[in-house]
Amino acid sequence: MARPEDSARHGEPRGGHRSVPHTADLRVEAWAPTREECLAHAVRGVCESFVDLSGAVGRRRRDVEVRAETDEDLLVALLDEVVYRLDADGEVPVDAEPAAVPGGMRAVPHMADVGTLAGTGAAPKAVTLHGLSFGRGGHGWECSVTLDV
Amino acid sequence: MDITLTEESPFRFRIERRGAMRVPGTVFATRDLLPEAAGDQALEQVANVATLPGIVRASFAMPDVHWGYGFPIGGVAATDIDDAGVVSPGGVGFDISCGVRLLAAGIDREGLEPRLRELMDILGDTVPRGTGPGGLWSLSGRPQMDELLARGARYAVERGHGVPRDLAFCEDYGALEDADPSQVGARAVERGLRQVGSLGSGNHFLEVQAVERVHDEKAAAAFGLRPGGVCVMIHCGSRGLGHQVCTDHVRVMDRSLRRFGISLPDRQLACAPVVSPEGRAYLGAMAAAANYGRANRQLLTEAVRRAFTSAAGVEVDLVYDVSHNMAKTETHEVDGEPRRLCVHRKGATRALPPGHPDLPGELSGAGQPVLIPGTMGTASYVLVGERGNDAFHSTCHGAGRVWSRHQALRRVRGEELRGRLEAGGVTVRPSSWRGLAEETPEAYKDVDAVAAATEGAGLAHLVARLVPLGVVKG
Repeated sequence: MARPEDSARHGEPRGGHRSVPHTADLRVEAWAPTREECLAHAVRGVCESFVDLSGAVGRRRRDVEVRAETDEDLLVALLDEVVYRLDADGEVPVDAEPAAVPGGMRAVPHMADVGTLAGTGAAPKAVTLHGLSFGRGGHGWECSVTLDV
Repeated sequence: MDITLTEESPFRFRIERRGAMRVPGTVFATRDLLPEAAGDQALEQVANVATLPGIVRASFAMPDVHWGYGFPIGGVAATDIDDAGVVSPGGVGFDISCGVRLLAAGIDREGLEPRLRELMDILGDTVPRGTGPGGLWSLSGRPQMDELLARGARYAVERGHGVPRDLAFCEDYGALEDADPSQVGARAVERGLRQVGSLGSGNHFLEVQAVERVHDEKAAAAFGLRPGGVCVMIHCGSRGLGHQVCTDHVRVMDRSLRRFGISLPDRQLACAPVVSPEGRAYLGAMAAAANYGRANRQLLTEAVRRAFTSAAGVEVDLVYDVSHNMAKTETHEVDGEPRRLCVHRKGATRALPPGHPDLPGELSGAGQPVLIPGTMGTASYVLVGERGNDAFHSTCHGAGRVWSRHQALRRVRGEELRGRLEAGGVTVRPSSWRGLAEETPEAYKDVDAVAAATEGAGLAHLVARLVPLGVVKG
């Protein structure tokens, strides 16, 4: 286990996230009282694995809406968006406050240019389905997801 | 799952069939090379792959096998196309046609030494690397991308980014014929438009090396390698485009599993019959992404040539270009019958023996060069394919990771590692200190042991050992 980030700071979603070792890749775990807060922590955990987000300033906003049949697939769809925006446009979300919409979720995160942030690790390039989990647990909601870096 | 290994020889272990496994597992390794880290699921993954519909002979693991997702990295699986065999994008990996290209420069180590720092400065300044957009060749839009996806390195050479000779020394002559650019989605294209000619990040690199030792003089001469000769090894793949192609098609296949009546022990093994619309669509997109990967390495070759011309006034020739994340349609004899197979190699290299009809005339007598990158602090190897390789002419692809990135960062600092490498005579141009530390040599298996096990198992034999002089890290 590494870098647990429990968050009850003002303006941040309740819950926490951490990255855990995998031989070649990145595994992120997150937990929070609600599904949407847990999603927000998963996004934060993925982004903090490769850039330092402390003090990061968003330059523009993106309207992100994803839908999926299961909560696990919703998590994957949201992280797919993060990876895509990073690779295609060099953008990283500095906040994410997902809200439930019928069949999915919507967020309008502020996006920072990755070039303005200090790198802290290899960037994710894809979201895998290996060892994927997302559901109710001891913290309310818990998830685990593995990304290719 | 508890995995029991039976030793068949000092270089070969067997995982017996049980449960849903359709074939046994075969692991080529010595006892010392077997995965042993707590939680490492590589051998369980070998067993999981053995459950794929249509798999024949065995689920194979190479001496560098380590924990992946779905398939192990260092895994080989062939399915019978005409007997409901499946194709699995996870069996190719996200970085489609990730591979290695070796170049031989017209200069010896001693001659380059006074110019090495200048050469590394030029390479460090001109080779795009790291996360996000930025490549040597910015494509004008989808129409031009479709040309590149259809014809790969051939298109790059036609557009002046190389010489015709390069194509003869590239697997598939630089392009897979059955590429279908229409199966490559808009997001994949968008990610790829500005990344042609870039290393990317993670374990990708461009390394200036010297031939330290020749094991097989005849094969080395056929490959253009001589003791003390300077080489350049490029390790990279199809960047964001390949990752998006894999992502998109895994999602499609994951949703169609029930329709095909397939159940799997790991969702990342998502697959579809090769002959189904989903299977054909993926293979067309995969071939297109592979062509992107070959064009990518072709553009980086051009940057290397410019750097050597500028710093040392010498030319650079292609030795060979191999892909180690691929699925290919190949004919192999199974139970005495020639069968059309879909051979998945994930973190494994095709290794054709001498005389194989798919080899260009120049290499027919020697066999196919196999390029095995080690680490930036140890060595890399050139091997050559052997007759009698029952893993569908496949071999390892690298040293194989044993430490997680976390573990590497806990134990090594990038600045300290750079000092250590420079003290050992290796010039380093990192893209970040953390990225460098994550790739510390201790994070990998001993490449000498992996190469020896590969030879011992009869998968390929040693031709030359290469040592690093300078590293540009992705």
